[in-house]
Amino acid sequence: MNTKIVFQEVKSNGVGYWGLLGFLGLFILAGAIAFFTAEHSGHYITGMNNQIVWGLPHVFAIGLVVAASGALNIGSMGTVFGKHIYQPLGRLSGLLAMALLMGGLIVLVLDLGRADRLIVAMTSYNFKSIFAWNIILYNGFMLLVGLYIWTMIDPKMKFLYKIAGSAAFIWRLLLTLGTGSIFGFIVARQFYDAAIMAPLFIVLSFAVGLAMFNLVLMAAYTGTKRPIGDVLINKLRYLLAVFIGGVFLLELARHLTNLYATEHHGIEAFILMGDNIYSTLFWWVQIGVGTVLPLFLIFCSRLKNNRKAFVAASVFVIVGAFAQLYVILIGGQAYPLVLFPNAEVSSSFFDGMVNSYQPSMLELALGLGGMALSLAIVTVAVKVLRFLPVSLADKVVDPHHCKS
Amino acid sequence: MSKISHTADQYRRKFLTGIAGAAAAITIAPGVLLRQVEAAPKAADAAVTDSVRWGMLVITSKLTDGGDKVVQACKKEHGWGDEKHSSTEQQTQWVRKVKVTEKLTKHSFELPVMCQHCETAPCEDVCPTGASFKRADGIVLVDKHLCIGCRYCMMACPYKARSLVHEALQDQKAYSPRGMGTVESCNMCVHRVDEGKKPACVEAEPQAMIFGDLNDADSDISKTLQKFGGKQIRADLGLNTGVRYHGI
Amino acid sequence: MFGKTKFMLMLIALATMLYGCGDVAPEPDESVAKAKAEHCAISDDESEVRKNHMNYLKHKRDRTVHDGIRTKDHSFKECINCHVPKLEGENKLRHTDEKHFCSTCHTYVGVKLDCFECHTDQPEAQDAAKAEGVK
Ligand code: HEC
Ligand code: HEC
Ligand code: HEC
Repeated sequence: MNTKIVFQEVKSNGVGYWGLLGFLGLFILAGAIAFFTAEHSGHYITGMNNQIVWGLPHVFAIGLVVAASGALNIGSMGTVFGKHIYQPLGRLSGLLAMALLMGGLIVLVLDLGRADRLIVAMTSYNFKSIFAWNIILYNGFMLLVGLYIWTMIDPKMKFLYKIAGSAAFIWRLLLTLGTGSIFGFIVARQFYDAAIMAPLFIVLSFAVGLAMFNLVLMAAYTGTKRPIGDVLINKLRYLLAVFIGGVFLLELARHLTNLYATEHHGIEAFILMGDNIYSTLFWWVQIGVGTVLPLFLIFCSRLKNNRKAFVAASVFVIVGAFAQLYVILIGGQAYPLVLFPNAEVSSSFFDGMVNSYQPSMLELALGLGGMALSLAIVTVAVKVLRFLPVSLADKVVDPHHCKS
Repeated sequence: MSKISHTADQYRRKFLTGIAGAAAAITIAPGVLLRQVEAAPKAADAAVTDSVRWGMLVITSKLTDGGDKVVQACKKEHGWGDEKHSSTEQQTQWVRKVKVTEKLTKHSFELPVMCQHCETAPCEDVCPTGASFKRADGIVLVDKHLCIGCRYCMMACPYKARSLVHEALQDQKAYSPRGMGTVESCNMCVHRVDEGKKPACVEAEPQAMIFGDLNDADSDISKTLQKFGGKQIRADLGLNTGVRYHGI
Repeated sequence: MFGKTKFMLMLIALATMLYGCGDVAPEPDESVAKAKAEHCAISDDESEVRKNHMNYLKHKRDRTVHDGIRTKDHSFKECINCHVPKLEGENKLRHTDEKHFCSTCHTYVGVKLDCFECHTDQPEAQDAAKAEGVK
């Protein structure tokens, strides 16, 4: 590890810092109110129903969990793959990963029909269930990343640095594989039943995780007026482009394989060419805002070294990723289950009909509350512990190849 | 319906009489056959075993109304489906009448669809806490004491047979507890089956539904299935369902 | 040091106060059940019942749900049938009411049951139960 890097707690005590915490606090409060309201009344006050059983909270939860494993990548590249330029960012990377996972899990847990039975989820396992494995994967992730951060902060623990970093890296791959497999194991729904779901989620996690990391990094360094140089930012910028491309390729492959199988034509037409929100989200938000726009912002030569463009690209990637999850999750459920191929079906239980879903404010509040919680954890942690290098200027992060 | 060609019609009639014969046997000659349906009722304090596999055969052409009576009987027995606050999409539904019309032939039929009591149940596989389980005698159940309301089983069920209770309930049936935030579905009336009785729906449409032990080659259901066959919905998934249909 | 001692003193004072004004544990209304049986179906030993009724219930719960064992002993349904009076309409004794047999002690000791979210807090309809008995 680069020993010259000096880490320091955020000293800021101004309106900016407390204002940010207060702002996040409002969202957390709204999320908490949403939870207690739903817990008290039951799920009838949400937009979810017995046709669309997983809704907006799950989009947020899965998005945050996926982002969590992706956020760890920066650290892993420094530790596991020896890319020195990323090493100073290892601590923040681990912290963000833990915070995002916590935010995601809390949304997932608070949306349970019986959130009060969390203890059952923790003590009664069905080892056949990928969901149960995920619970173990999440807990393990917390432990390993915690250990990893410890080895970076405490010089006495340095001997474990490489091992902890590698273990966390492998674990994070498993975790995303597990998250993706939640869908892969659903044989009944045509949109999910594909092995490509797991790798897609891994690459998606690279992209959203990095985008989240970029935003937190830029916010922290602008907010604390600590220097950050173009060398590092450009590294992150092009890395983001690679991941965007990766997601695009796997998504392309997924739709092409689906189009190859005749029985999946219906659902593909529904998602790609339907007169519905899912097609709009797919083309305009996922592909347009989430893929083309950030690539343009990254590669347009006139925007070189433009930090606003870098930040905007990261925001758009996140927006695109959430749209993608929405299309997969809600779109996949909206399309009717096929009970009898080649026949029209109807019933009092919406068989054969496209199911509608109108997310409620409550679900949005819960999801945003989880996200705000993640960010608040980061905000508080950087103040109490030494997560952030004092400087990320070019000559600090890259002394050998410094041009200026 | 009347437009079907003559030969097909004749074939169909023959076919149906055959089934009618078998099904009628249960109602017409209760003495011997009924005892077989309720083969060896287990003692109240004996645990269920896998020597039995309970199943149901629905002969769609013999349903009086395509399944409405089945739905009504189930509702009455278990008290679901009139949740005060829930929207129609949020109402629970243990069984529903589905109308199927083949696109090419326009042939149309109706059938009640409920939990199919799969041998390899996807809900059981995905349930994180083990609340979804298959009883030794093949009945797929939710242990609501373990259910955390994650709804993964609802995502996994190919038959849309499961519902989440979206609101608080009161005055449930004492033998069929149901409650907010947990998932439920057809339980083949375990409380009746364990006492040697038939499920409520079978009692409501006795001429069209046969309940019995699929493991017992001499049971009515096995004999009828052996003779006339019985289809599974989405047989392609290989779930080996305990609920079979005739006429689909 | 000073803080700790003071804290302890306050705790003791609080405990004494609570003890002093502690009302007597309310007696659950056993008259409904007494009309049907002399002793509780769980055990003749009342203290055993009081101490361990939840364990009997939890054991029975798994035996019924997983093994299909539906004997009357330790059955939730039967506790309610025997212990809760059959009343109609507005008069129904709800589990949220302290007078409900299963709530008297629980309210006092601060135990909150979730059982009644699913299990009815009312005895089964008498005629239906009778009809089943006849069969
Ligand atoms: C056939 C009627 C009957 C049934 C069934 C029954 N009980 Fe009782 N129970 C009684 C009677 C009578 C008493 C009073 C016992 C006595 O005074 O010795 C009693 C007393 C009790 C008490 C009070 C003990 C005390 O310390 O005062 C509790 C608690 C209790 N029962 C719980 C249950 C539970 C739980 C069940 C279900 C598993 C149940 N009972 C089933 C008749 C019944
Ligand atoms: C989420 C709903 C739910 C909750 C909450 C619940 N149960 Fe049950 N319970 C059920 C269902 C469903 C059955 C199965 C009934 C059957 O198969 O006949 C059952 C059956 C039982 C049985 C066996 C049947 C009987 O009447 O004896 C017992 C005992 C039991 N529960 C005890 C409890 C206790 C004690 C609690 C509270 C700690 C509780 N349950 C909470 C749903 C629930
Ligand atoms: C004589 C007082 C008394 C009565 C009456 C009584 N209980 Fe209890 N019950 C208790 C006490 C005390 C506890 C708590 C024990 C503990 O905390 O370890 C308890 C705990 C329980 C629990 C376990 C709760 C938990 O969270 O684990 C269940 C289930 C239960 N009771 C069911 C019943 C039912 C059903 C009835 C009505 C038939 C009933 N009880 C009536 C005293 C009573």
